[in-house]
Amino acid sequence: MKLQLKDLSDRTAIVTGAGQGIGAAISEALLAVGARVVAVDRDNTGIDAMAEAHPGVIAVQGDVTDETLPQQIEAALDEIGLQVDILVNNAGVARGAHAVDTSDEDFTRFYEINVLGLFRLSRWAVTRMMQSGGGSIVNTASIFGEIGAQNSCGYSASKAAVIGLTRQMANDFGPNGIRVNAVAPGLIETPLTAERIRTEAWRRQVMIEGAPLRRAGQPDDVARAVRFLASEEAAFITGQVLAVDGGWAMGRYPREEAIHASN
Amino acid sequence: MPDLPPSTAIVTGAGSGIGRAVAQRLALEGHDIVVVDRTAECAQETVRLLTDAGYTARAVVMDITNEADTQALISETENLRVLVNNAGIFNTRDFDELTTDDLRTMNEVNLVAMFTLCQQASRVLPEGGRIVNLASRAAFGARNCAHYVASKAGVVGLTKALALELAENHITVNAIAPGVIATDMLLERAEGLEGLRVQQPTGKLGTPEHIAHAVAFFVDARADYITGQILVVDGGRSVGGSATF
Ligand SMILES: NC(=O)c1ccc[n+]([C@@H]2O[C@H](COP(=O)([O-])OP(=O)(O)OC[C@H]3O[C@@H](n4cnc5c(N)ncnc54)[C@H](O)[C@@H]3O)[C@@H](O)[C@H]2O)c1
Ligand SMILES: NC(=O)c1ccc[n+]([C@@H]2O[C@H](COP(=O)([O-])OP(=O)(O)OC[C@H]3O[C@@H](n4cnc5c(N)ncnc54)[C@H](O)[C@@H]3O)[C@@H](O)[C@H]2O)c1
Repeated sequence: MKLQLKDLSDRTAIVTGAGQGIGAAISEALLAVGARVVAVDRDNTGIDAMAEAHPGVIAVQGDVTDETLPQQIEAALDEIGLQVDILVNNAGVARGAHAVDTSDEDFTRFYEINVLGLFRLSRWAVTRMMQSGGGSIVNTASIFGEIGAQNSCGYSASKAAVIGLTRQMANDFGPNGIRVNAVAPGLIETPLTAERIRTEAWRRQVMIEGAPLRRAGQPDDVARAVRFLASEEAAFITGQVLAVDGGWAMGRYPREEAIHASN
Repeated sequence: MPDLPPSTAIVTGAGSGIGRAVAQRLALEGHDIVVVDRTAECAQETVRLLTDAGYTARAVVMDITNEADTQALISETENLRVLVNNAGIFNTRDFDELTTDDLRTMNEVNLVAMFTLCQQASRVLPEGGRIVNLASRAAFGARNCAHYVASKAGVVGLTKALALELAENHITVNAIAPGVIATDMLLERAEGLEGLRVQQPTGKLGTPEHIAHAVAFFVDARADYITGQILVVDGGRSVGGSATF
């Protein structure tokens, strides 16, 4: 009985936004079980350092809004004869504003980075995966894409689109042996959010004190979920969105006391 | 493997199908296993498989609908850290022919016994404790088994409620909602496995191991930021519809 399929040796995973935060943690988690990682980021600092530290990392500096990014990645893969087994679409940007303050340009920017960039790379990856008999895509959505959030118009809508695309691609490519899933993180402490957590009292109150588990998540919390969904252990899971939010979306009703505080 | 504190996992219905695979997978992760089943031979066979492989396991033959027995089970289990509520029953019947007794029996095993076990376990589970419940994809709707659907929808609700209740104690509560998994439970069905297989988008049925992996993912000590989630493991069958334009 094959009970442990965590091992990803000989697998190649493309991770976008791998330079820092959640993407860096995902890359580390995949490397830890033997995968090769093609680390993509528009900023080269993090990915270059990762490539230097790990022989299994190939750094590709590029922007997901660049139409030629798939070709750049393809060239890097072909140079050493690698397939595409796993694609982790993690690159994304976030900033808060409610609808009235969201210009067409703002809205379009979220759409172009968080949705169109992800779509373009996925469309290219599935053709490669079809040739090699299958693969797995994991998208970093957001819990805001599921339930919305105040002052988060363009971002939440873009992440809802990521969830929609996840289900759609799972539908279309299931018969080709390609699984597509997403994680929906709650508040995770990364370079994107650390400053806001420190300076914004409402964020701490609503998203940390108000979270059932009363803490912000760490990049590794998300990375483990991504790795599970990407691996063969999740071979029968597709089209799913797994929240990694400490139970936040389910109910923000903190109790005064634990019910069985000690025993 | 990193040194884990001693940990015991209770797996109900571990005498067959999904429960047995869960027991094997959790044993591999380093947990001692309590195999609970109402059928003695089945429970003993799982224990034999585990102990032959060098793991620690014992069988407790009981019916989980007996509250005194479940209390004894919880009290007598040392180092309880994980409860996997997997035992369940399933049968089909036209809605028109279903009786309230059918509904009661189904709920008695699939929901009420689960509630009792969760409550009893919550009083002893330490910080970092884990509860994983077996719901079903059918919780979101299925034909010919309204009583089963209702019981599994109850499991979904119970899971979410308990995730909130027990978060303060740092116990996570999650559920798996399996689609069609090739076990005895389904072999008994009229259409047979072949009829079910062709309805899968990938042409493949699920295996008990598929579910066991998902359970192990939630049970992992490092999955402590994931609670109240219902993970559908159905090979994509419930995602969208098929359409040819
Ligand atoms: N941190 C959170 O609380 C949180 C919550 C929910 C979802 N997310 C999502 O998780 C993902 C990662 O977030 P993070 O917190 O690690 O952010 P981060 O800002 O710390 O890291 C994002 C990385 O992506 C890269 N990147 C951004 N735009 C890019 C582009 N156009 N092309 C290539 N690379 C680009 C950045 O250079 C950076 O290295 C994002 O999609 C974000 O929306 C984060
Ligand atoms: N097989 C599937 O396709 C499928 C799909 C969705 C959900 N599930 C759920 O997964 C779980 C396991 O299903 P399975 O397919 O392995 O079933 P199974 O019938 O093969 O095994 C269930 C086990 O539970 C035991 N059991 C039943 N009632 C009990 C009771 N009152 N007390 C003690 N033990 C009891 C049985 O003896 C049996 O060993 C069930 O909760 C089921 O509803 C199964």
